[in-house]
Amino acid sequence: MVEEGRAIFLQIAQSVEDAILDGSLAEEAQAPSTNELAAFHRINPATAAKGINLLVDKGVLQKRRGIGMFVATGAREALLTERRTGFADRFLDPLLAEARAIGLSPADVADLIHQRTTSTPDPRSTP
Amino acid sequence: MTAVIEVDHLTKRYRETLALDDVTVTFAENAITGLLGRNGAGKTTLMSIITAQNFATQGTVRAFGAEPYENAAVLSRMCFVRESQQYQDESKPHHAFAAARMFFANWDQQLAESLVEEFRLPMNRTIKKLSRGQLSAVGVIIGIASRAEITFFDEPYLGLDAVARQVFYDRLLADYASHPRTIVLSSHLIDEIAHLIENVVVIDDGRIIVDTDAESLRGEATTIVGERSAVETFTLGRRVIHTDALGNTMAATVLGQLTEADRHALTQAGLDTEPVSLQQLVVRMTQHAHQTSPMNGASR
Amino acid sequence: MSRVLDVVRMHLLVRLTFVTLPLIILGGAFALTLAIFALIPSDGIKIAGAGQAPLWYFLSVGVMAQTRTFPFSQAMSTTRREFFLGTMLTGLLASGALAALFVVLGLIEKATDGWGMNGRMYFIDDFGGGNVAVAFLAYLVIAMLAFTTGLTFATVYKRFKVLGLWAAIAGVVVALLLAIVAITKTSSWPAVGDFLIDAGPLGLAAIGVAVIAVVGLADYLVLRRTQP
Repeated sequence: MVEEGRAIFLQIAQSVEDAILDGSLAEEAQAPSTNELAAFHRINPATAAKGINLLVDKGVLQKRRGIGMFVATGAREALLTERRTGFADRFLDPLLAEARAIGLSPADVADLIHQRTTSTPDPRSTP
Repeated sequence: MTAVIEVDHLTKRYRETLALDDVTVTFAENAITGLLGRNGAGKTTLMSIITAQNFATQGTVRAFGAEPYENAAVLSRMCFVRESQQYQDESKPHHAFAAARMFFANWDQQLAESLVEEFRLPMNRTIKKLSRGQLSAVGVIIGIASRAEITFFDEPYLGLDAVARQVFYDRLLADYASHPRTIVLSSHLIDEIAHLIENVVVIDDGRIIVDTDAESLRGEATTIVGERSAVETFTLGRRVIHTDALGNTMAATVLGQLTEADRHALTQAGLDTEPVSLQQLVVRMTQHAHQTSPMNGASR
Repeated sequence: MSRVLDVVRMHLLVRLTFVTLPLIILGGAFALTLAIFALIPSDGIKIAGAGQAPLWYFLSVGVMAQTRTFPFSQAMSTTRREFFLGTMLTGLLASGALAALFVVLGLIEKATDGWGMNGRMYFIDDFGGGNVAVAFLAYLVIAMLAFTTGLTFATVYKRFKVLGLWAAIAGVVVALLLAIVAITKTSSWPAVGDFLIDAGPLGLAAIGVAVIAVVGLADYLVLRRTQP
């Protein structure tokens, strides 16, 4: 569940962000507690707390005194913007590097992407 | 971080062997610290001196700010069941738990009983006739259910099968989450506990070679894989703690976080990187301890 | 103090050392001695020392109290002082119980004319001079002395291993021999005899208590630096 080589608290923060992005954790909804995250991912609660704090600092989560953590209003939109900005860095650069290594031009890659999107239907449109 | 245990220039000598060599280390309050190292590295000796079961040749130990030796106020707040713990002859697990219930003020009987069930510990067999795993379970149950403010686990998994070990890790984590306390977990099965621990203390040959928080240790080492000369060029001037070679391919494990520039250089040189797990890192460091300078307090 | 009492309770959790084995020895010695009495074809007073075995068996109770329970007491986070005091208190309780049993058996022995066979194994009159309380005290001091001695030698063994144990035994033997030589050289045996007779049962008990205190203190001093 947790992978090697990357700080666990970043992975925890990302897992919560993913849940917000795919809608399974709605805005205004209560976010999982530190202890729930720790038990689910089998990690130290302090590490889980570090991940949660990161999201609080980013404004994705809001602390409500005595109740717990809640997803901030507008958090999903903000995350979408952030992920879209980072998309090229995270996914395109490695893709193009590998393509170059095996002798595929950017145009070849674009063609491949085109082929795949027409042959594989969008999973969200077919339940 | 508040230090609840302070070990200062601690040395333990047994005739010819130096079990602990000028060890200075602290343990953070209400955190889980992994005390890692090979068999015979000095883990049990360190824990037994902190709990005043054993004696220092030189140096001092303080827990809750006071010396533990003959100090009931300090000792009663600590629990240390040895890996090789001796129990009273002819005693059964329920005798050991009854004693623990008397001596540990925070003892939770219900918790102990549910752990007995989860570990399937036979309560009416004498401890002497228990299997190694069942013997470990007795110590683990005392350790968790005592809820002592400082609890030491001394290689608690010996003889436990994979299921029982997972029970231990899960129950420890759950109980720690609801009742935060200081836990020192001694182990050489590092992969299994890597995610449970907040701090890491690595002891090798009686000396502390790593003392830092687990998160900053992750990514502290990377293995660079690729064509030999390219790897050698990249690793020049870096601290290399291990190398493997296969034909013209070389894998070198380097210490230090990689920067963006490093990653760019690696991509340019056609080199791959592989993450190094905590266990691999500790194995490499304790294999080469004499060549590696200590990383004490890397980011505390 | 409550932790000292907890040490007593810990010792008694497993009844084997302090209850079961002493009772087995007591019963066995009793039955064996009765059998011997029955086999002796004389009508005179039959004397058997085996009845005293349970008192001396407390030497072994002391050994077991140390070897079986000290390492475990360390896991229970007791101090060595708590363990020492609790162990001595347990020994005292057990010695008291045994002394009470001896008094009862001694009285029965007296009332039944030596179990109907003119036998003597509890010697209640010799120990107490006709006084039940003094006999109780005498039994108690002997059992406690045996217990404390066993405890101390076991602690010496635990801390200094076999070599230390033999050194301690040799030391005691040499000291006793020196005392005997000194008394013989100065021809003071009659004086020693007079002193012991003058001391009387209570005086002897007081000497016993003093010896217990010295041996017990030695145990504590050795235990202070003993590892489980």
